[in-house]
Amino acid sequence: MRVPILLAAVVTAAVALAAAPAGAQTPPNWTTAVDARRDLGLAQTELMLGERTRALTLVNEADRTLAPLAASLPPSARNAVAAMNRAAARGDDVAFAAAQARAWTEILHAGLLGAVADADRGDAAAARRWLLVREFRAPTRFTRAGTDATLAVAGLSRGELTPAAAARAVRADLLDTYDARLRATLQSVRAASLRGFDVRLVEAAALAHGYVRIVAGSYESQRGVAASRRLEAATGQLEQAARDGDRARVERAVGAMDRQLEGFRAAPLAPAEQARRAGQLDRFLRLVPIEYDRGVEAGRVTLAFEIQEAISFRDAAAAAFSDVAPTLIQRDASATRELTAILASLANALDAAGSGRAVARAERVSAQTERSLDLIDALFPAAWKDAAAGADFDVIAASLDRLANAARAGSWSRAEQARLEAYGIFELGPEQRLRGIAPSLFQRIEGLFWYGEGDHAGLVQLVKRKDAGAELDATLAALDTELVDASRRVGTGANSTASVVSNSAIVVFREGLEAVLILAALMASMIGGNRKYRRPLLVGVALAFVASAVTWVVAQTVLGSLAQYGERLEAVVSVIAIAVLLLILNWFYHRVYWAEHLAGFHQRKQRLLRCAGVGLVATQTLGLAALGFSSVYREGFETVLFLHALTLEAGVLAVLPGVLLGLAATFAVGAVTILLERKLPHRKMLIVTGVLMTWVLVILVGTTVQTFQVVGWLSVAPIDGVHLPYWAGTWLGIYPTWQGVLAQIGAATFVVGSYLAAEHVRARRRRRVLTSVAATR
Amino acid sequence: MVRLLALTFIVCLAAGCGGNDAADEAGTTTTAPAEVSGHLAAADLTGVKSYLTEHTDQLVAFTERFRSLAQDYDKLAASVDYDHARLLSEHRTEVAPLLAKAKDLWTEGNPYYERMEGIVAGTPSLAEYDIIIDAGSSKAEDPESAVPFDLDLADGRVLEQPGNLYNLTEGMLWGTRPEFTAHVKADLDEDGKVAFGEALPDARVFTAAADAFDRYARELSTKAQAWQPTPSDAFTALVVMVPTMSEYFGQWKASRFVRGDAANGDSFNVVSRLSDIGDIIAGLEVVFDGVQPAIAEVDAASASQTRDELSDLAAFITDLRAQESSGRRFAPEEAHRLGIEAQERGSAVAGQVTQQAAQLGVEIQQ
Repeated sequence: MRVPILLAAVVTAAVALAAAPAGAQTPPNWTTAVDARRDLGLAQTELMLGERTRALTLVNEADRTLAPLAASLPPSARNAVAAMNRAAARGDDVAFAAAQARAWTEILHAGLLGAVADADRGDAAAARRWLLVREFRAPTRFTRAGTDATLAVAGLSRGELTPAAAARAVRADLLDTYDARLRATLQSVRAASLRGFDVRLVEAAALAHGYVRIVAGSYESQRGVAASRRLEAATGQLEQAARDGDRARVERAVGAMDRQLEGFRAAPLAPAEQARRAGQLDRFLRLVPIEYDRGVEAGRVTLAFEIQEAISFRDAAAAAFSDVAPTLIQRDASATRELTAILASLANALDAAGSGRAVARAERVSAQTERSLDLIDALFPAAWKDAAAGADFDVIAASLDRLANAARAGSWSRAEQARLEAYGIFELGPEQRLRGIAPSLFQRIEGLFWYGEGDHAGLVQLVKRKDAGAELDATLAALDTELVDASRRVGTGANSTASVVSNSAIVVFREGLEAVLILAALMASMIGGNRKYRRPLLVGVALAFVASAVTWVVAQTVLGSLAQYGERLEAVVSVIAIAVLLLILNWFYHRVYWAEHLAGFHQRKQRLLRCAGVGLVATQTLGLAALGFSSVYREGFETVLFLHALTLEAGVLAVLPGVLLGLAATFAVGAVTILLERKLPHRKMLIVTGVLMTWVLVILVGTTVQTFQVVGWLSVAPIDGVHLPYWAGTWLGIYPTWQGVLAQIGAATFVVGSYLAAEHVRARRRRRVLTSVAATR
Repeated sequence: MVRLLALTFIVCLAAGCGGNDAADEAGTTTTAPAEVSGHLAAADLTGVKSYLTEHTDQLVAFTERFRSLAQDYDKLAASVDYDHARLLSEHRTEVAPLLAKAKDLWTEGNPYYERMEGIVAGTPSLAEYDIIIDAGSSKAEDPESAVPFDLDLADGRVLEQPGNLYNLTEGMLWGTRPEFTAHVKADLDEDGKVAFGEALPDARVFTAAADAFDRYARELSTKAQAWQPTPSDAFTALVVMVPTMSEYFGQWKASRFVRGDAANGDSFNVVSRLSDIGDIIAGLEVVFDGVQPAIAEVDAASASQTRDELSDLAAFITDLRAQESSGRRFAPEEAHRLGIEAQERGSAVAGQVTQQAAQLGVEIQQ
């Protein structure tokens, strides 16, 4: 019988490669092991079909291919070969299947050791050959074949990875694969047992045992020697029960293995990766009730695609959960199991709604999600809550995928919704960090999301044009590239302290500029009798600083939940700021008119004047305080979020000088403005103040319209063919949308018109007075 | 299944699962450098396009003839006011050969689609036609994976999402979907009993289904003509379609070819699913041939390995089909184990193609 020779060759090739020292020998061609696998598989099939002659022919053929590699064998492999020999001789396909499973998993194990060893000594070519003899995760709804080992070896060959790093990546990928195969095989054991497929049952049990041997080292290092022995014992019992065809014992053994494998992961996640998966769990879970609520109404599904999206998000959350569950179960097994149960319950509810069987109330889905989030909050270590920025990129990618799908399906409202979600997550998370460490990168990403970048049209333009063609693909591809770059940059820190200092200084300066211009211009005009108005303005400013400080403290603990309201809060505060600024400007331009008007009013209705005068003063005081507060706080809020994110990225010591520099520049501009204005004649000073405030108002209106569009409160109508540089939006609030530009023109027209109207009224009154005087003479 | 797989990839891309695991322990992430995309120039997908359009042309020719037969049948039924009992009794000599011809034509036409199914189902922009023509279920069976069309019958009835067109037409011609056949004893060969395959289709359903079949086949043909295959399309088709072996073997296992009269499925009882699987793999081999030169530029051994394993898989299926054609009846457990073997091989090929796509920087689409 030539089977032993064949397997001897196969396993010997594997073991020799795994054990070969650097440069000891040229590894044999990969085709040996791969061809052997094919031929042994065919031989097993023929044996199963009773074609013993054909089976032996195949075995002999493979044997000839492998003969040059025959050498000594390790005991376990030798035993497997001997078992195959006996089984083939008596036509026992059950025993043959078990022995073949054992031999094959020995080869896989040797392949893992060989690939890791070769990668570790920097031999990428040899490691690559070993990777041709491996298995992959079976594709399911939640998994695809890992490519990390392949890419790591490619990186090693290009000199981009160190041998040690490549070896770690190869080991992790392969261990993770065989861990997944072990669990899938245990399911196969159960299925074969239930169906009464005895040969398959024995084969699957032997495979499970083989996979356990592959991951045993990792298991022992994590759980200890005693636990490892118990797992080995349970696996042995499973194999024996399968051979005996005892279904009850099979079920008990599989149950025991399930319990022992609970919370085990052969390739444990690195801490940073765990935090990222944890972030995914949190973020995807939060989206489930939102989508579900959009899709159901009064106990029926109104928008089926929203339910599908809820299902996708739940599934994504569950996939992330499975990756962090091993750690969570160590922290609190009870809470982790409750979370497992809730996720399963959510899956059932969503599937039932998706298939139309039953529609759970949105409140129930929301309550279950809330409970899950509470559990997550209690279970997650603090480090996970702070360092999960990577998850934002995953959610952004998922949203962009939805955008692409919706575009292809011609559903443009869904596409726009997905775009806004993706941008919202980017703006409130990664952007804050990128602004400090890679400002040009985040500007390019913003451009791709909105009005274009380089040769690529912006997503908002493409969605409005309903362009699902090559241009959309190109923009999405460009965005994907930039986001991949961004995800690498976030979390790895800044390139240099100088860039952090300069970038944070610029951000503080830019955010503070509008506020300081308003305040300085007004303060400069508050001289003489108007000096009293400074106090309410300064009180408002002081309150805004206090509020910003409180926001900073809150951001330390609940940044994630705070950030999601950031844009909305900014939008609301901006509207207040605009309203107050308009009021103040109106008052500013009409001051003379009002004074005259009030004087006349006083003469006619003295009592009413007193009341009205008191009311007016109170309104002016309140208005100035509100202006001081809103103009500072609307920038303060955003600056706080940005600075908080940047301190996570670069540390307080790197950020603080930049903040101080930015504040110094801001105050300098304010001081210079006040000084220059005071040197001007009174009337010119008033005009300069008015112009400055009008300019700031126009910027404010532009940025506020943009903020409204970001949060989806205002539609977007891009101006086709207009491409503005990034600074036009950043410094002037000019974005190429009809809404923004028209609102800015409207604001400017209103203020200028208001000024002209006031002038007209004053001139008419002057003429009337002069006419009256002339008539008197 | 295709939609499930598509969802798989959406979720995977979103969740970063599986594929990024190596970096977990290593704390390292590597990606293909930009320059490798230059190797994609070696890919030649003109063969894929011509293969597809050649088969869509064949499909259209088939559906046109099939529709013509359905219209002939409808005329006969109209002559007796759609009284199917009278249709059989008064026109048996015309009806029996007409239906036999329709069945022969159906059997001839089935592979035209199966040979391109791997490309159609695996290409996101074309995959809808796979649901319509070959893969979609009926609304009653599973609303989630149901076909996206209704059949409007000439008498005003509307069949809501009745199932894919091959299943629908197979079911009415062979009687495996009795709801679409006339409720008469259809002893077409007058041997005194109604054997498997003897059925009298509801004429209006037959006509509407044949019309829809022809219409969608033409739509697919038009889309195929306009399609410009990209490396991403090719790799996606391979990764999505190759590892569907266990599902196909499951359908084979449930069909008459394995279970005989105990079969309870209403599809794949006329042409063995093994034959379909072979046709699908043949189409995917054409796809792989298109990208193999590009793969060989970055990893010649891997390209060669995958080509060999794909050929081995095709040979494995062909051999089984040959045994079945020669009269061998596989037992359910044998079919199960053969399915596992095929699935293992398919998963291995898909895993290799995933590695190759990553090395070339090619995106696997959703």
